Amino acid sequence: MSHANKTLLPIGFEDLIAPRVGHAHQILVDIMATFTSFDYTLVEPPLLEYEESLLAAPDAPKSQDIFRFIDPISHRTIGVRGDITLQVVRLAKDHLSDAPRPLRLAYYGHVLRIANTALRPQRQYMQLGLEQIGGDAHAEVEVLQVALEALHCVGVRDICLDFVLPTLVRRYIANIPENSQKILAARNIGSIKQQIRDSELNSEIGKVLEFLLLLPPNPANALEQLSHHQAFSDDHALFGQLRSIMSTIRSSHPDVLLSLDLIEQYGFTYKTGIAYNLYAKGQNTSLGRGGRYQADTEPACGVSLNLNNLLVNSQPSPSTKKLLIPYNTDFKALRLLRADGWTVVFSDTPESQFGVQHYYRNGAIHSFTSS
Amino acid sequence: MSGLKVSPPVHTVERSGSILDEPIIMAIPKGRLGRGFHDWFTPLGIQPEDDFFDGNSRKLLFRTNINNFRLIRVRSFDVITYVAFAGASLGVVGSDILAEFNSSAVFAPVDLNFGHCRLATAELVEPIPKVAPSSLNGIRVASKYPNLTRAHFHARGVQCECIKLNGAIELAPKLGICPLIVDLVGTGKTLKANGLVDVETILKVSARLVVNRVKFKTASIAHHYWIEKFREIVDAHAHQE
Repeated sequence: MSHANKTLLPIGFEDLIAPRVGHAHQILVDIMATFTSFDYTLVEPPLLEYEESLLAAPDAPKSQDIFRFIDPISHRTIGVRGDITLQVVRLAKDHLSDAPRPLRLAYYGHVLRIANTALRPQRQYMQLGLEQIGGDAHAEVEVLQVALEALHCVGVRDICLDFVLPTLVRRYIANIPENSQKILAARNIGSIKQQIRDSELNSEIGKVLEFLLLLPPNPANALEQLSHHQAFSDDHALFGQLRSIMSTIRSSHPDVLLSLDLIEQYGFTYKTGIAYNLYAKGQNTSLGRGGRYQADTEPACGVSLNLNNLLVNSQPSPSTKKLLIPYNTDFKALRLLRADGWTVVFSDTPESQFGVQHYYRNGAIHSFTSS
Repeated sequence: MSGLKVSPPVHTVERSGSILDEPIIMAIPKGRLGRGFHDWFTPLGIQPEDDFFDGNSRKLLFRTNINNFRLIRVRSFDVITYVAFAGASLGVVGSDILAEFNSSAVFAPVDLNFGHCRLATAELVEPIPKVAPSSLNGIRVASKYPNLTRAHFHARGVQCECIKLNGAIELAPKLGICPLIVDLVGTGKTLKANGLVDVETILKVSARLVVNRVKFKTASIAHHYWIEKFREIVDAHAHQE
């Protein structure tokens, strides 16, 4: 194969070919089918919006994080979406404000990001997800169960559901130096202690952060200790809600590993309640994330998944059975064969090619191997 | 031969068959910090294969007495990279390197409380006129730590031009490359031997246990077992002192 004359694509973009594309497509179709089977209705916002509407939401990407250009017609700045969730919230407000609640919406589509890091090199990926807008306290359990069911259907195994309570730490974040925020994000207890000693960090806040960093890994034990800490005496309702969600998930999806992270803020800046990250064992990237947030004036809750990261841990479906057929085959017969699940390959050369194991002749199916 | 003894608790755990099912690779840095870590093997109950202590061995991946627990020895700056990409799930690294990388993929849950030193700026005791800066702006600074160096000077409103070197930083001012360096200072002997004096401490440094972020969450039992083990040893040392 010659490497000359191949096109160099921009950094973070790639051509996808078989079998990866077929696998990805199948996962997409199966996941969306699961979402819609729970009555989540598909919506499709456009790839581009004017910059101001794309960046309007409080948790929207920053303008330096999205691809932007001037619209040659309106001369206004247009941005390519970096997240579909926010578009869905806008769409619901613009078009579905009179629809009955809870509003159950599902979506999929490509998003672009400027950032290209060694750990996350791709700048284009397929985002798919579901949002429940205007629901009640059952919303978290429902969207999580639907998402876990969808992941199960496409063969993603060893899922870890990492719960996050971003509102707890958020109270303190605004009052600590930026350097302390970085140290906290790295769960760097040693440096937090050092900063308390050096009076760079308020010792009262520092002690609470230290307490959070040293909570036991088992979520039930961590919640137990949390509910006895006076700094969190107003949060018992939240803890109770999380306990109830975890117990429901434990019985509906017993093979999912549950964990609790009380420090995480990344991607959860504007989540207003229980949030979560989804991981798969043995994979260094997250499958997706979600949580409770405020959709304009209504409470909302959702999950969004990254298709690229689902490919690693899912099982590709078994290869299709292919049948070689002559060009003059009767089309009615062809229709029946395809209905029987055959992938038909036109060829007048009666030999095994394109991974074909069988051929069709005189109204019957023959095997290349047995003849 | 290392002559290290195996402490019984690890074997008890191993027999239970749950915790040590998770394969773990731990990255140990080459050099001073890595040698300092050798004292930790006995209290941890880890006995590396003999090749680990043999400076002439070409091996890079080492078995230990614990099934599924292996060690790699890599350059100190590479420890973070191996752990961030989950090539290794645990590692030992100085807080200087942790701060330089500032990687969201790596957690540092335990201060191992050894390998103490400082990251500091240093200059020649007797400045060479041709490289002495007329003002700080645009000042050239040689360092292995371009990010921390820039952040330090930016916080003071100074644009500096950072020259990335990978070693023998102390040589740079003497040879007229730059008036200032940012480097680790232990005893200060190396600085003195090269006619340098340290000016300002940027960061107090000690060794840290680092853990891959996702492993920390998804293989939590095994990793928290080791994190707890490291904490116990640190606490036991603190009580002795």
